[in-house]
Amino acid sequence: MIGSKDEVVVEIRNLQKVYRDFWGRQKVRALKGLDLEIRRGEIFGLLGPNGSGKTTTLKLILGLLFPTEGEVRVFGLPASDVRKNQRIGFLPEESYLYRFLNAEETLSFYAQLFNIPARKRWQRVNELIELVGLGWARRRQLREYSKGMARRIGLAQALINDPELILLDEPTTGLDPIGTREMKDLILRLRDEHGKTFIMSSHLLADVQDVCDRIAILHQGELKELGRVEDLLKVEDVTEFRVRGLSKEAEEEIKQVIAKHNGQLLSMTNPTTTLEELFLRIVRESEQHPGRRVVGRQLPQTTQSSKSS
Amino acid sequence: MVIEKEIPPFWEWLLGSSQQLGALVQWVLVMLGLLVLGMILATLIGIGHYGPTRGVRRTLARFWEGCLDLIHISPRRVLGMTRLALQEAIRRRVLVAFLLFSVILLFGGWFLDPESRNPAKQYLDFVLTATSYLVLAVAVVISAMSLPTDIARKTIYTVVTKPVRPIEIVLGRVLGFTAIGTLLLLLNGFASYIFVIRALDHRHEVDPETLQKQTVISDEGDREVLRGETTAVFKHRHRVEIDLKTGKGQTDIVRGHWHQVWIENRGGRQHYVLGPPEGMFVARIIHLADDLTFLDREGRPTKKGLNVGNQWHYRGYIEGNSRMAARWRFRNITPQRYPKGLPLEMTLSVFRAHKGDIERGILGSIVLENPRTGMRSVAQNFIAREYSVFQMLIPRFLKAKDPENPDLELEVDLFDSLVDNGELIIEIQCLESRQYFGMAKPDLYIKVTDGSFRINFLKGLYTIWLQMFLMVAAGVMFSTFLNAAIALLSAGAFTLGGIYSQQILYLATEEQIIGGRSFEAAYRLLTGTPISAPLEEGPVQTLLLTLDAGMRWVYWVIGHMLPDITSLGDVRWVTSGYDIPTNNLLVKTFVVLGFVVPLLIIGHFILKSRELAK
Ligand SMILES: Nc1ncnc2c1ncn2[C@@H]1O[C@H](COP(=O)(O)OP(=O)(O)OP(=O)(O)O)[C@@H](O)[C@H]1O
Ligand SMILES: [Mg+2]
Repeated sequence: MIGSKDEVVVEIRNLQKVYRDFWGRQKVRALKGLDLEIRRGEIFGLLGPNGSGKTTTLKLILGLLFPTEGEVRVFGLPASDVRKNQRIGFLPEESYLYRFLNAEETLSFYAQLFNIPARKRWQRVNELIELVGLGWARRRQLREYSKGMARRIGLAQALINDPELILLDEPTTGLDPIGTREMKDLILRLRDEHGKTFIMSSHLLADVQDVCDRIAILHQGELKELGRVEDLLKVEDVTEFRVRGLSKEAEEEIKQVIAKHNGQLLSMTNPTTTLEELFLRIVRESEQHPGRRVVGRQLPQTTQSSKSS
Repeated sequence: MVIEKEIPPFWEWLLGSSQQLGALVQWVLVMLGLLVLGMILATLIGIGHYGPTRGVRRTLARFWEGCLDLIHISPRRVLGMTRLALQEAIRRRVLVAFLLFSVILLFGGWFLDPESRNPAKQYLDFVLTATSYLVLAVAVVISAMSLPTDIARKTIYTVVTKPVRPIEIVLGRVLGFTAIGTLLLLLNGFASYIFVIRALDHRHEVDPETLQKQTVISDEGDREVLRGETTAVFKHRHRVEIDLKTGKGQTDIVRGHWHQVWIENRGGRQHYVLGPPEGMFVARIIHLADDLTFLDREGRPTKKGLNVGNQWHYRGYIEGNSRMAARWRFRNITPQRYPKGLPLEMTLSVFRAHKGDIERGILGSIVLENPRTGMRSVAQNFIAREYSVFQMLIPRFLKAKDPENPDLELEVDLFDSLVDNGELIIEIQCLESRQYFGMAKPDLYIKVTDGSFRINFLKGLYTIWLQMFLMVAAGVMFSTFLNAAIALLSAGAFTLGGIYSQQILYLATEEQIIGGRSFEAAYRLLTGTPISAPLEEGPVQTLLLTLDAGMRWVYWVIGHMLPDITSLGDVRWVTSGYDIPTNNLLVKTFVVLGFVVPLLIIGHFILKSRELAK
């Protein structure tokens, strides 16, 4: 592949989006000056409550919307340039697919849009149908598909061109636990083995925590937090112990040691999902102090490391 | 045959002549105009959205990207989009329209009358009109609804995030829906053909009572024949003549057709059998004159004939029993094309200043003239009837007057004495006083031969196809920026506007219009001022006239932007039994392309400049 690990795949500068109505009156300020850089091989998570601007950001990157201010560059090209699409895959929020086509026809159609010749096309279609586990329903029209099945074919569609950059808008909604697990494993595998870059939006924190390297938390169109998941979740003044095979006496002893050092024992059993806490804290804080935000480019860039290693 | 707008030869039309700019140059000029207009509009919108510097920069950048997209069009992607459009149409059961058409045909039988004077024309008119309306309606609906549905359902998101160029989305749809329309047109056309042929098929029997043996005396020897009448079917009978030696014969022509007759021996008895109707469906290939001029009452040449008071200026009239005459000038009259003489046909209109016996017909005379020497043939008389084609063969050898000595009649060869370098003048006069003949150039022609009716039928379908192709392109173009309902309305308005484009142009170009143009007419309507009364002078009148003067420009532009859809459909040729000249098809094909190409490109740039996820 072209480009090094430090290559910036998506560059977002002072991105603002104002939705206007038919008469040009301002309706919603969905994004208020977003700055982000996403590098090759990253799995980048966009987090935020409903209506915080995640989907809007993805649409601006894809060129489905035009920025009101600022700019987006993808592979160094402006977002309005169709040539960038050659290297992009996109799974929309819901599966917006042609309901009158069946799975094969759907994938073959999208493959055709990448100018893939017939023989290679069918090979690719077969591979992907197997990958998303829909071999048993390949000839059924999508109107008969369940939500999760449609989601799977949506994912296959996003991978049809073997893209370098994949944008996933809430990839796990509608999937069963097994599907969710498979989706996450697939994302990690594609990144680890094929060096793909992902941008995914989600409000399912567990998913984000499992797969993302870096996350940005949006709230009301503003960037509230940005950084490596590990760093963000590391709570400096909290120490967790997980020990196996400890006797009652030993536990009592440790409690005493903590008490002696003026520590306060929080829990000795299962630690809570701290991303959830972080998320709730940020949203709450942001509601109390609107306007505070972080600027993506100013954060120190940490080196890549994969979560699964 | 009525030809209101004559179509010049293709190359002359395309490239122009010394007097007129070619269609190609005109087209390029209009395209340049559109480009400039579009750029100005786009820049203004850009400035409105993003302020002057960014607005201009963005518009130019978009325009440049759009141009690059046009170059990077890929056949495979277009094909993909085409197939999608086809699948959409088929899975949405568009072909059900064919069933609808079959129902129309079933009920059509109630209104159609196989006993009418010209049943073939009536039937063909009906089926071809029904076909074209149905196909056009279906084409406009599917093409105007498709893209808005995609945008509303957001399926477009997964398409435009692929390396698809907007032009491919537009072109793919146009091709896909055209393909569906073609299929529908062929199905309907085929059903129509079968329907008409079968509905008008009929057999007579020979009425044995009427049969009489007669002897026909001719130069080739005498023949024994049986003469008689057939039974009446569809309210008409034929006279039959059967040659006793060959056992074969034929009927006379009634209501535009005739039958073959033959004798069959069945079980030792002789039967007279009649075949199916023949000559009912024809495609006459005709040789039209180059121009038609008139002689006025004093015998001086003029451009136009009399106007007998009906508003339609199509035909000029000549008065009977005067020196008035109509003169057609033909070219390319050669003995190779017409070895036996000139088979003339006339469709004159007859106007009576006093009502006589309408059925009787009016007496006229015909003279051939050599345009160089002025030698004239001896006048031949004929009787013209309203609404019927009068046929007459001008023999190769005929009598003419010596130009030096008008009393001397000579036997001459048409091609040696009357035709000069392929040119010939044919002159018609009306011989009865206070009667008039009306004629336009195509009312007198030489019938070259009969072409194939089936091929002509296909040619007629092709002209419907051209209309449909244009409508699909317009529907898709409107659907790039309007929602389904509005796109449908606009495409419908475009069609209607196209049908009335000549009237719109008339509003623009005519100097005097009784009752005024739009604003004046509306004012008169609201205030109840009769159209004959002049408007009161004053500010109101000035205002109305100024507004209307402005409207003339608007009409001029609109009239020229809209295709002349009426004249695109050439089915009248088919229904009246004339072969559509290939030249017409060629010109019309290019006219349609001339509209479709900019429609596609406009659709491309609109789609390019639209926020599809809004
Ligand atoms: N087409 C639109 N027209 C007007 N406002 C819109 C439009 N799309 C989104 N918005 C507004 O922009 C803001 C951001 O919406 P967006 O869809 O980006 O949120 P999101 O973070 O993806 O939310 P969710 O988690 O619910 O998917 C919201 O206030 C929303 O109401
Ligand atoms: Mg969303």
